[in-house]
Order: sequence, then C-alpha cells, then structure tokens
Amino acid sequence: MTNNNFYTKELLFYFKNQPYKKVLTNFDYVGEAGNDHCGDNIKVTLKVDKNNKIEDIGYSADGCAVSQSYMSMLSERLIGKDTSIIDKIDDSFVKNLIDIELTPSREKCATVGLRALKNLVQKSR
Amino acid sequence: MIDKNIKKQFKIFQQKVYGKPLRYLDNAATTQMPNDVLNEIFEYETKYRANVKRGNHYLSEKSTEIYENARKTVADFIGTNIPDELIFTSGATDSLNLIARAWGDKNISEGDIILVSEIEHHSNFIPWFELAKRKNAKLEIIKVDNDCNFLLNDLDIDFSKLKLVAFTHVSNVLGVVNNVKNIVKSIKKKCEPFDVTPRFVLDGAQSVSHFGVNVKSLGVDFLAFSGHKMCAPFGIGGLYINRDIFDEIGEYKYGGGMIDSVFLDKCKYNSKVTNRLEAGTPNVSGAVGLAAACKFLNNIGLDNIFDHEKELASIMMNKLRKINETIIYGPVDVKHKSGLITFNIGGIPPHDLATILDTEGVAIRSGHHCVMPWHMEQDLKTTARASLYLYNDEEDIDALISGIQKAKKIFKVN
Repeated sequence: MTNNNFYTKELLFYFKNQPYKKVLTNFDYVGEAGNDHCGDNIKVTLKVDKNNKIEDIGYSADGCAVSQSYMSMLSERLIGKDTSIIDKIDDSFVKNLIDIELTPSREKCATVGLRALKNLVQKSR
Repeated sequence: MIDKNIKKQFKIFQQKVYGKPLRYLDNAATTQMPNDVLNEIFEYETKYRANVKRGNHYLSEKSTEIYENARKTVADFIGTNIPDELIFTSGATDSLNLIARAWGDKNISEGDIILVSEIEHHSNFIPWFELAKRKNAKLEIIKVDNDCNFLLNDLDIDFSKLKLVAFTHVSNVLGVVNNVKNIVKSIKKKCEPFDVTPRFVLDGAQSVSHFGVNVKSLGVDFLAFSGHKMCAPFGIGGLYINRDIFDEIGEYKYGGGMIDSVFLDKCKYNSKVTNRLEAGTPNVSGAVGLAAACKFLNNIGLDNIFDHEKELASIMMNKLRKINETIIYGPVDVKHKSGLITFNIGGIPPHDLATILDTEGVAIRSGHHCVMPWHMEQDLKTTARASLYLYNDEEDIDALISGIQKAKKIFKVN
C-alpha cells in the first residue's frame, strides 16, 4: 500500500505560488471542470495571439492542494504553446509533471485542471 | 461504561494502516462490524441459507423463521412491538425512495406542499425534489440557524396544502440532535386551523445506532435507517411505517413475493405491507446481520453508547478548539450533539488534511458529506468531519490532533 506521502516541497511550492491563479478580463477561451466528490473546481480562461499561441492563462480554483498545484504546473508548461497541445496532452502527461506517486483517488484531483482545459470553448462574443 | 477492550471484538482493528494503528473516525459514513455479527451471518449462511417464504423444505422454513425473527428484533430495537411495521430495505436511501414512491405517488397531487430542511442529506432531499417534480407539487425548505435550529416561525407557506414533512433526526454534517417531538408538534399546530395532518418522515440514519430511539414516542409516520451505520452489513436497512397509515401505502418495486395473483391482463398485490413492499428475494443474511447488530448494541446499552460518545466528543471538541486555525461548524457545546464534529483547519484544504491524517492511520471524511445545499448556503465547498462510535477512545482523538499538527507543519500553517 502506498503511503500517501506526496506533499513534497515541490508540490507545496506550486500550491503556495500560483501566478496564473488570477482573473483575465480579456480572454478568448473558457473551460471548467470539477470533482463533485471532493469539491475541487477549476475554471480556466486563455488569452491567445493571432496564431493561436497561448499568451496568458488565468484560473480560479476551489479545492485541494493537489488539484491547484497541478493546474499551476500545467499553466507554466502551456504558456507560449499552440492551443492544439491541449488535445495532445493526457492524464499520464499530467501525472508525470512531478515525481509523485499519487493514489487513484488523488489522481482525479491532479487531473481536474486538465479536464477544465479539455472543456475549453471559445468565448461567445 | 463501555469495556476498554471493546476494539478486540472487532477484527478490523487488529490491522495496522501504513504501519500505524487504525484510528477510525469516519463512523458517520460507515461503522465497523463486530465479530459477533460476522459470526451470526456465517452461521446463517452455512446452516440455513435458502429462499424465504417460497419453499416448503426444511431450509426454507428455517430461513423464513430466522428472517421474521430478525424483523421482530429490529422492530423492537426502534421501539415498536408490531413487526409488520418494519420493512427491510437496502438502507436509508432505499427506505426514503420507497416512501416517495409507495406513499408519495399515491398521496401527493398538484399544488401540494412537501417540506424539508436545508440540512438534509441528499438522500432525504432528492426523492422529495423528484416527487414534487413528478406531481407538480411544491418543495418548500425549512431554513436552519448556525446552531441547526429549525426556523419554523420563518416559514411562509400555505399550511393547508402541507402533505409531507421530511427531516433528519441527527444532522450528518453538524451532529445536532433535533428535538423531533417539538418539531412535529409545532408543525401540526400550524396545520390545525386547516384541519390538515401532514405525514412525517424522519431520517434516522445518524440516530438509531447512537442513542435509544423509541419511534412510537416521536410522533412520526416513517423512520428510515441503514444497517451499515450500526455495526451491520452493507445493503440492509429498515423502514418503520406507522400501521395507522397502511391504507395509504401503494407499491414500490414489482416482482415476486409481493403479489396475490397475476394474470396476463391483471395483477393483484398482496395486502400485507411487509410482503407488498419487499418484492424479490430479500437480503436475508443482511437482515440476520442487522438483528445481530441490534442485539450487540442492546447488550452494550444505547445509553452507555451515547454517554461514551458525548464524553469523547467533548474531549475532541476541546482539543480541536485549542488549535488556533480550527473553525468549528455548528454548536461548540456538545450538549445537543452526537459524537460528530465538522470543522476546517485554516490554510489546509480538507481533502489534503484527510490525506495527511490517513498517513497517520487516522480515517476521517472530507467533502460536502452529501449535503451540498447547506455547504453552498455557507459559501463553503468542503469541510472535514470526524465522527465517533462506541469503540473509539481518547488515543484515537490524540492521533487526530497530532495528525493535524503534522498537516500544519507540512502546509507551514502558523
């Protein structure tokens, strides 16, 4: 049995430092996902340039340190990339962002941010 | 007094979790089964297992006798000496859905009012929400104050239309024990001028196993409860129905065992409520386990269980409140509470707190505890909940507190 000892310095660093946990007043895409079982909820917005490159990310997050820190890490990776990358990344990409062995129930927390990104729709104008 | 060695009667406590003793504080979700209950189920399954009320061979006769004796034991446990008033269900959720179908579909009409409190478990909310929707009836809400008192005087409803009132005996999120008699009396009084008597549904999932419940003295028409919250197996529970309203009860599930006669063009259902409402082969070993659990709890004494929980709850409350970052939800005075405390530690999301406590062998619950509406009203997403039972001791509470201290260090709180 795994000893759920995944509150490493690195994970907590990303939890305490979330530069993209902010409101974007001007954005092009919005997506949301939650985990009703534990109350995690992330709403993400993206600002892209004319070539569909991600210029900025802003998200709001309610929930555990795991869901928030993984969203923080994901944001860091996505800045400057083409939005098409979101279709290509999957759960295993997220799980490998840092070297932590998550339990199955906490994997669901870690991937809430990715699911919010997968739910992105263009902002209605 | 409860025997200090009571944990030895529960095999599950012999194990270690992550090399540490199991500190089980999630009893409001599910309780553990003592060896006596497991042994009685084993004996039934290995000596008497057969379908009930259907065969005329030895095992079937024996199995039927055991099943009906279990009904007597469980009925007696909740305070009725009429076994037919006790329906075996798969648990409190099933019991409440049964009422919504078998009573609700027959008695609720367009414009009628169904009244529930805002502190209900989803299982005592959604069946009424859906019933109201099916029948174009109105679902009205009793608001509660911070101490979980029902604000009955704030109710601005047409009491002449009130048909059903459903509420919990003990809140699974605030642990408050509601004064059922007073609530029933007060609502009945408001209905009196209109010559209306609503039916009362009590959710006893968090009460019947923690203190002596005498359903006949409470003035309710229905009482729902779950076996797994009272030392019995999963998949078994009970529903008390006052026999005075038997003629208001229709059908729930259709199938074998609930009929008088079936023809290709017409069906006649059994007039006996226990038969009519228990379609299909019942969970006999579950009923045996539930009856064994009732005997086990009676042997310890419900008063002893309640006193024990109160004493521990008071210790747990004091120790939690000594932690500066603790936020307690509901009253801090445990006088009107069961052994359940819902809280948060500022700076630590409850889900993470539960995970860190788990590494110390301490099992608590985090989440909305199936009471989303109340959490939303409080502008809360989730909370942590530690809930006690007869086998918990002070060492369990100490492990909880030192686990919280560990979580504070990890999250660098203070």
